[in-house]
Amino acid sequence: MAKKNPPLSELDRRTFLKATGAAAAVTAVAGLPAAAAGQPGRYTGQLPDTPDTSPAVNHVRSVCLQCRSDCGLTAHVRNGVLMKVDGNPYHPNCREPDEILPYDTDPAAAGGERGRMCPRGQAAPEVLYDPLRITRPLKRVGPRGSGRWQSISWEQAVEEICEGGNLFGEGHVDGLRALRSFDPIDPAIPELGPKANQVVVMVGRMEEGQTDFNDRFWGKSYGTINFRLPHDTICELDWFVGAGEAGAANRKPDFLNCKYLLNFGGNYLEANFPMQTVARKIVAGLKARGGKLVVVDPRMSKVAAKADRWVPVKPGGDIGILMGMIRWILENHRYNGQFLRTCSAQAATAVFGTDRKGKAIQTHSSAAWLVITDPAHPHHRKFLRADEAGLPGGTSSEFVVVTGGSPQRNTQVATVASVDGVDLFYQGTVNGIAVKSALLLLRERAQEKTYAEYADVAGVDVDTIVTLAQEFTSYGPAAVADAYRSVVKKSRGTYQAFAVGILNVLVGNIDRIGGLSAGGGKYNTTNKVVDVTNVPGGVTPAGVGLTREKDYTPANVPNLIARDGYPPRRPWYRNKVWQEILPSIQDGYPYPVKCLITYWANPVYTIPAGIVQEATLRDRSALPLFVAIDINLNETTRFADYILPDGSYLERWGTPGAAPTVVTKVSAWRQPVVGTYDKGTPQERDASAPFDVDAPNEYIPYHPQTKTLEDIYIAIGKRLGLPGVGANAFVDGGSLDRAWDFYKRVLKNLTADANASGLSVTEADVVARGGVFQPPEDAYDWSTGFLLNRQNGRNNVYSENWATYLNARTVTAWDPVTGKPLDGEYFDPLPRVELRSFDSLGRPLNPDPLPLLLTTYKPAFHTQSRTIVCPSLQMHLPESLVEMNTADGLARGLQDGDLVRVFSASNPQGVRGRVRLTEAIRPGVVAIANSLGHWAMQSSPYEVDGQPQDYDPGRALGVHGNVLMKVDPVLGDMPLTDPLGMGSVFFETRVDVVKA
Amino acid sequence: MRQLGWKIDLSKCIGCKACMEACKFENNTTLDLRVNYRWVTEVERGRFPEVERVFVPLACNHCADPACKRSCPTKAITKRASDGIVLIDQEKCVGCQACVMACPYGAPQFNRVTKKVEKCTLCVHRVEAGLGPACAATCVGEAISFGEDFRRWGDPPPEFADPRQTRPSIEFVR
Amino acid sequence: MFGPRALEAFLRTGDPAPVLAGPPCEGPEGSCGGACAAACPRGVLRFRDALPEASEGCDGCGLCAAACPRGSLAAPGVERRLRPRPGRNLGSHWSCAASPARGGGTLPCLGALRPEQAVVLARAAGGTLYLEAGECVRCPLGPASEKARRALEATARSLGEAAGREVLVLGPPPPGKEVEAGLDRRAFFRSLGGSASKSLAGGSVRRGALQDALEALLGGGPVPSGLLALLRPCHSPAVQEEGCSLCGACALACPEGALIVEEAEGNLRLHLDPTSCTGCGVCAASCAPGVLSLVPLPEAQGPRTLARGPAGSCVECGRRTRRPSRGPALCPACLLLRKRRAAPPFPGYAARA
Repeated sequence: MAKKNPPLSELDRRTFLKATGAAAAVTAVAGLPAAAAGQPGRYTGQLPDTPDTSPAVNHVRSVCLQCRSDCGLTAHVRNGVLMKVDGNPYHPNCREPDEILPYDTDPAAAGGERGRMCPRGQAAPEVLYDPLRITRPLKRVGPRGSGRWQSISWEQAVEEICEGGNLFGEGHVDGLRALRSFDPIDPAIPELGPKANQVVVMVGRMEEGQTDFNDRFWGKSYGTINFRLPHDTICELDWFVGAGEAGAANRKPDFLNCKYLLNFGGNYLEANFPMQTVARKIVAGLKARGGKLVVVDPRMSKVAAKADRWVPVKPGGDIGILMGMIRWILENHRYNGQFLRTCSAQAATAVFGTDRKGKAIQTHSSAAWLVITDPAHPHHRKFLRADEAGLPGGTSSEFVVVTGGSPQRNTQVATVASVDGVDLFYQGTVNGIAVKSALLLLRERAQEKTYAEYADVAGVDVDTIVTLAQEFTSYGPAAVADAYRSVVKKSRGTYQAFAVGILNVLVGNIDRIGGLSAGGGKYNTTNKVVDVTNVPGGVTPAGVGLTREKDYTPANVPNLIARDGYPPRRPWYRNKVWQEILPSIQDGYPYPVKCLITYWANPVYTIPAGIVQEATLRDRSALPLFVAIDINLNETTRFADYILPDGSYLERWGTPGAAPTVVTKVSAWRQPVVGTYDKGTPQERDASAPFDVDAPNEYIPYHPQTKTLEDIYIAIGKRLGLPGVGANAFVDGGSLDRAWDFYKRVLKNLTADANASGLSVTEADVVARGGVFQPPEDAYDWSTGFLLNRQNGRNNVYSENWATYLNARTVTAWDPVTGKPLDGEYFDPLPRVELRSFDSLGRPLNPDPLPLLLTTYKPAFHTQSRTIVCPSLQMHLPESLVEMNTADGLARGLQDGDLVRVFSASNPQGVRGRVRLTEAIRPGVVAIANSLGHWAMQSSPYEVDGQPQDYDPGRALGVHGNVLMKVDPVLGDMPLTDPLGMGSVFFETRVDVVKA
Repeated sequence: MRQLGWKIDLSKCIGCKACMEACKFENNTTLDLRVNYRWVTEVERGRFPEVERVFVPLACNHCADPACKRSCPTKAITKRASDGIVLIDQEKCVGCQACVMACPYGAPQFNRVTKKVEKCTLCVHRVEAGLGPACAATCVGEAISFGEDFRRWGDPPPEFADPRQTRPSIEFVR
Repeated sequence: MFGPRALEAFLRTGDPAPVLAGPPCEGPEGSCGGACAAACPRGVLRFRDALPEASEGCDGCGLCAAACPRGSLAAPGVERRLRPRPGRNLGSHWSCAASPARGGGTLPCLGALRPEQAVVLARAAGGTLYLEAGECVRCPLGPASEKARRALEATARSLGEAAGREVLVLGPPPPGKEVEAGLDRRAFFRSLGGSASKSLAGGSVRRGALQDALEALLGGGPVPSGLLALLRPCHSPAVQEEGCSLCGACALACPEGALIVEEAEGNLRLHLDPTSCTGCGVCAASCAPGVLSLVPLPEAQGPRTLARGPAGSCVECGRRTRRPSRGPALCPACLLLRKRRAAPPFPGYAARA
């Protein structure tokens, strides 16, 4: 299927050395002025300088973005040159509570304090000073992807993008001005919305602050519904959907106090959120305090190497262990009955009380709620509402449980005695409606298969399942089951995520110390003082999004259903789906796209089999205008019409929070660490006057021909005369002429909210310390055993949401008058064993004949597509290897280090790389580390203004697993996708390995 | 005599190589990427499924009896009396690599750009300022720390060269 | 008799303690058996971290340096130790500090003179050097001084036989024959020639200076092999050519710049400039394959090109080295590291690329 096989590791080791040697030499000359300018030199009988305590060194605290974990950073800057990056000692990602720098420590005196930081983060200077980075606007010369560019001025770039014209000598192209029309795209189908929706903003890596700005600009100023299509679906969205159904989307164990951690494939010590914090909390917290760690993973990841028990499960077979455990726990009554019976917030408060801050504990469970099981009832499969049950005073927002033998409104179960009387496994009729409790339905589901069948699914023995279940239920609420992308990146993976979430509900560890934490959250940065998301005179975007984040129902899209019927031409979803963007553009479904703007996005490389989507980028009729905002010529942006370079993440603002791994509140402050403010260096400014939040702070990045994202948008907005840009752009009447006009309001919001939450901080404090951090003392309430920052909500073992969600692509018959479907498959409200792959019409695929299953993982030295620009990270893993069990290798006549070809059904040509035979992987599995094996990213020659440019072939070494992955056989242009969790499928491709 | 050196907790090393990055930028070894004052190795033992993966962070051990110092023909290698730090004076080093061959741990490394041999200085510039080495300050798992007493070597991994040769200043703690 | 007061002058000349120079010291367990520490008359030279180190109380007699068979220890140069007697020029008659004689100059102990130093100084003193010692058995430096003097006696005997006259006399000059060469201290050392003076200051003598002296003293006659064996600069590097990797480590290490690797027409040549060689043996110590060794002069009289071969670059570190007829060129250090990686004694070699 793949049209192009990227050039891979045919270079031998010597060539690699030359390649990286060349890169290193370039780096030394043009890349790292730090080498000459500031860093300690080599020992020559005299001691080199110490940057920490040298008065010439400025310490700027900002936030990392080498991955999404947003750890705080301290930049050591001397004479405007970034020499080194360390963690921010104030930031709870970088130091544990026992060594964190108290917020009241004077930042000027904290020079010698370094937070901890992972290798990716420390390679920051190589991103900033990457000599191969794009540092001026480029316009393509010749056809797309030809690798020939001309450099143009910002004025020309903005003018051409806004006004359009015969830009490339290939005919007229509409510009943004012409495209900003509020006439309907198709008058016959008005629900698609205005023509402005044909401008699509596709976002790879964009974070809080930038997203707020982006959304207000493209959504409210410009007016497209496609104002930001984020990459969530190739990332974690299906985990959030699945685990979220059990309670809340993003929860993590309270690692430090957890006694038993059962991890299904989470790659804690190499990736995860945030890798360094999770890793430390595990090896220096959980493990050092005697906690037990069990890892279920076909590959012995680094965390499996540190685990008390490694369960090398059959890939995808986690659900066998999960369902087996659920069955055993329910049959042996090892669940936390007290928690499962707390059927309402009131019940929870009655049982658990109030924390020391006076906040009621409301964490409860819907396990005892009754579900309508009468197939004839119109609300079949839904929870029984109190009004339907005929309970006096009952409303449709109340649910029903049976306590003391009689049905009761869940909100009325508010004493310890009535909670104790709740029947968890009720079956009967209420008000004439046949019902069962949710937990009973779960038990019935779990009992559909025997333990032996579950063990077979997982490729483990029954004893393992029973032991895990026994152990998991022996630590009270201080036991947590966790997982991450690996369990969900399958065509029905969302059910596995739900099952993991259910395990946690069964032991009642939600919001508990040592249990599952929803995190501390972040402070309000958007509307505490000034609502920065509000655009006076702005537009409210309307219509259907390009990737159709609506249910395909007559209520939503009557005219479209009247035209197309069922099943819809392409799937509809409940969220924006990244892997759908380019195929939808190619199909012109639901409407044609006129302009694609990407921001730090590389779908061709990062989407499974994304290489099949390359054709869309080349196709000028499907995609008339393609503008990429990026600092690299990656696998995707190399097809762009224009490349607009913004700054690196060290040259921008932002307000990222922290993952729930941190149980206290975090609002970090990302800010430029180099570049010039108001034509002076930040250092000059910091040295003299106190911080002035109202200074103009006109910021120019390190490369003066680059602009911050905000300044690029402002330039476009001013050219188009959009509302919300220039004068009177904010609700307070202020103007928006430069990025700081936005961020100073964000900063004021943040400071005000922090002060309203009981802290005492000034804007200068936030800027000097790199954010606002709730003190670690505010984490735990030991008297109740609960966390102080709680989700405080409902937790499910049954999904009403899914039970009533029809998969429109499975509909074959419908009422032509009303447009209502007459058949089709509803999603399953309970987790179930599903090992097959499914196409986008919901049909199981034939089993793949190839013998090995492909899995990919992130190594500790890389994140996705961008970190390859760092030579020091390339050094750790010069080329990604094809890892397989020694026995599998020997059976194929392979020796460790042999050059091999890996191929799959959808990519029979395959890719070539070096094999590594190891015992640390289950036989039958092939693992390839992500982030290497590039075929763009300035790894091959290209020209600007007729001049050949430097490039680094070292970036092309290794293999990239995504190019082998399975393509949906029905659509043919995108990977398999879980219709429920919307995630692209990474782990269902079978491959074989032969000697090359 | 005061002797500074390493305390390494192998149960906490996760093989992430953050220490290598910290060292690279702290000591400016970016000129020749292959020079790493500190490095992390991985040993895999056993057969599936009874497998063990062990990560070992290593650097110059500032031995009590440094083989490199004895081998250096130009006396560029000195051991400081005040804290036992072994240093290679880059002005005296001629790049003959005798120390590279003498050291049983692989600490001295030839820089292909400067044509001289360099190695871990135990961040002597930070030690002088009262701070610990950069690798210990950043170690993600808190596996690397700074110690002063090296009469025992703890429980070195089996592949570690016999410490009686040069009496390295390193202790493997658990 | 001399005591601390008599040595005051020497102490004022700077730190009298010996320093490590030349080939690496083998330590207390080396082949010498810790000769330097044993030779120290005051017992202040001890091994610390396997290397000799003088503590407080060293008066710079230099016996340790003379005792070291490898030349790893260097005492402060003769220039610094030789003190003129007040009011007199340096003549050809010198005495030790314990001697009652009144020579032109005084050394703490005559035994600290290396044979080659004595030869060069004898020539500078006009052809005959009278060295008058006191009663070693009663010397506060103890029996060490006696032992150290023996090498000097052997030199004197051998030199005398070859020259047919007395060149080095261990005793007073005959009455009336005391030579007042009229040399003041500065003029004396100038007469040694710049380079020789410089070498003498560090304790080592270049072969060029030594050969000039021998030629002048022996009238161009042959140097007896017994004498050659005593003179350190007459030990010259010799290379087993087939094992030499031409890596140039010896040239890099040579403190006198006597060894040079030249590249011409695709070939590498290792040259020796014999006049600059001091026989210190640093080159032998730096030779990783162990093919370079020091041999006495007659055997080293061959070509000054010690080794030659086709030029290549080490594939690992880029250093110039011999290109093998097949396989990649590797300098000895990288070859060793590669071997260690193949059979790692510890994980570092295997994993570090």
